[in-house]
Amino acid sequence: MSEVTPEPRFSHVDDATAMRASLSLLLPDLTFVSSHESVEDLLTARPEADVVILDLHLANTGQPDASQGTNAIRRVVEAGYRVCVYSQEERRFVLAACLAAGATGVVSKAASLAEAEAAFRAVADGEPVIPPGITGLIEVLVRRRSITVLTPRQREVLAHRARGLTYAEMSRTMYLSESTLRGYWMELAQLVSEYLRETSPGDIEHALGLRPGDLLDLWPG
Amino acid sequence: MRLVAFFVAGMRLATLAQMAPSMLAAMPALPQTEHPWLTGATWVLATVMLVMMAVVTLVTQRPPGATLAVLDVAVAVALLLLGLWTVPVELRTGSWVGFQLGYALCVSCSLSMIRSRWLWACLLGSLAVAEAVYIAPTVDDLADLTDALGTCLTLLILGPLAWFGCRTIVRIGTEADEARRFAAAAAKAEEERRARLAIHNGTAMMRLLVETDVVDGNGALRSQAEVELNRMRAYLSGQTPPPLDEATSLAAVATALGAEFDDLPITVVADLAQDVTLPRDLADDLAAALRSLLLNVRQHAQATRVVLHAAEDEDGSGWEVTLHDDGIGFDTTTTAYGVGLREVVVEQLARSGVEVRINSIRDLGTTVTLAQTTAVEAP
Repeated sequence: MSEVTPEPRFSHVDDATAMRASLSLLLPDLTFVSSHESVEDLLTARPEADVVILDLHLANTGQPDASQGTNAIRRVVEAGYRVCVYSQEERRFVLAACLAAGATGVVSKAASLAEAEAAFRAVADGEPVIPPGITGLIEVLVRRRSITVLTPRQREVLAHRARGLTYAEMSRTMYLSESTLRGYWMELAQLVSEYLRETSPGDIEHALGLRPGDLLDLWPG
Repeated sequence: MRLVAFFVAGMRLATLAQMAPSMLAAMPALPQTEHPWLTGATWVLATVMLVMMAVVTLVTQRPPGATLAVLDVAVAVALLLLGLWTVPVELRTGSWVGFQLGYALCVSCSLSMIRSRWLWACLLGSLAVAEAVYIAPTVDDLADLTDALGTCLTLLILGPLAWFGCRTIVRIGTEADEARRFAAAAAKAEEERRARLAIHNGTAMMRLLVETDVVDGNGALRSQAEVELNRMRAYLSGQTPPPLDEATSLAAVATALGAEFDDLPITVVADLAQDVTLPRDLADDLAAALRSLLLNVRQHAQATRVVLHAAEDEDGSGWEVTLHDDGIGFDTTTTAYGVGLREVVVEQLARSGVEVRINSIRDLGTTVTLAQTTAVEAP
C-alpha cells in the first residue's frame, strides 16, 4: 500500500492586508494555515506550517520595528520553517542575499498565479526555486572558479536553467528523466546555498567583479 | 556577336573594293575572252554574293549561319572551278583579274558561326581542294609549286585563325553577357534583401501598433517604432545611417534589447557577456535579429517567461546568445520560416559567421541560439 504524501501547509507573512486576505482565495488548491502581518507575529503564533511565504518589506508606519529582509528570513529559517520569498523586489543581488540568508525559493509577485503555486509547492518539496537572473550570477561564480565542486552534469543543468529551460525541455535534450534533473538541481542549489552562506560578502564581491562594499548592506550579517 | 558580324561584312566589302578596279578593266575586255558570258557571270555572281552577305550580316548583326555558310562555300568552290575556264592560267595568282583566290580567302574567314568542327573542317577542306585544283595548272616547276603551296597555306592558316579569333570573341562576349546578367540578378536580390531587412521589423511594429488597443501609445513600442522608422527612412533616401559607436559589448546589446521589450515577462542574463566586444555592424545586425525574434515572441508565443541569455564561451573562442520562451512553440519541421526569421535572423547573421539554431517543442517553448565561434590560434 503506497504512502499518501501529506498536503503541504503554508503560512503567509505580508504587511499588506489585502495580500494577506486574498492569497489563500486566489490559490484555493494550497492549504494555508495562517497569515501574519510580521515575522514577530508568526514566531509568536508558531503555526504548524511547512513553508512560510514571506514578503521582504514588512516595516511600515504601523509596525516600524518589524523585522524584514534577510534578517526576517534568517529568523524564520532558524525557527525551523522553509522560506519562499514572495516579493516585488527585482534587484538580483538582494534576491541572492535572500538565498544566502537561507531562503529555499524566490518568487516574484509579478509571476502568474499558476507559476507562483508551482513554485510554492516546489519549495514545500525542498526544491530550490531560483529565478534565471540569480542563476546567471551563479554561472559567473562557477565560471570564475569561486564555486568549484559542481559535477559536469550539474554544470550542464545550471547552464540550461540560466537560459530559462524547464525540466521537460532539458529532459528532451539531455536524455535524462525530469526527476533525475530535479535531483541534480537540488544538489547544485544546496551547494550554492552553502557557498553563499559561508562566503564573506567581500569574497563574493570580488568573484562577481563588484566594488568593495557593494553587497555589504544587502548581505545577511 | 555584333563585332564578328561587322568583321565578316568588312571582309566582304574589302574584297569587293579590291575586285572593283580589276572588274572595271575586265568588263570592257570580255568580248576578247574565250568564254565571255561565263566570265561575266562569275564576276556578277561574286559581286552579288559579296554584297548580299555583307547586307545580311549588317542587317541581322550576326555572321552567316550554317546554311548560308554552306551556300557561300558552294559558290566559292563553283567560282574556283569555273575559273579553270574563265581565268587565264597566268592571271590566276598575283592578279585580281583572277579574283577567285581572294574571294575564297574571304569566305574561309567568314565561317565563324559554324559550331560543328566537322562541318567547318569539311567546308574549309572543300575550299582548299578547289583552290588547289584552280592553281594546279600554274605549277610548272619547283618554284611554282612552292608558290602554290604558300597560296593554299594562306587559306588553311588564316581561315582557322579567323575562326578561332571569332569564336573567342563570341565566347568572351557570351561570358560577359552572363556575368552581366548574374551581376544584375545578384544586385536585384541584394536590393530586395535590403528592402526586406529595412521594412520587416517596421512592418511588424506597425502591425502591433494597429492591433494594440492603446490610445496614448505604448512607450516601448513607440520607441521601437521610431528606430524602425529611421531605418526605413534611411533606406528610402538611399543613405546608410552613420555608425553610432565604433564597437559595443554583447552584454550592452542584450540589455538594451531587454529594455526595449520590457512589456514582456523578460529576464536578461548577460553577466558572462561583459567582456565580449562586437564590431558595430555585427552589433546592429544582432540587435535587429533579436528585435525580430522578440517581436515574434510578443506576437505569437503567448509566453509567461522569456529569458535572454548572453555569454562568452568558456574557452574564449566565441559567444552564444539564447532566447528562450515558455510559449506555445511550433513544429520546426513543418513550419516555414517567415521573412524575419529567414532573412533578418538566419541569413543576415550568417554573413557575420553567426550560426542560428532553433529548437521548439509544442506547448513547452522555443529556444533560439545564436552562436559565433572564432578560430582560436594554436599556441
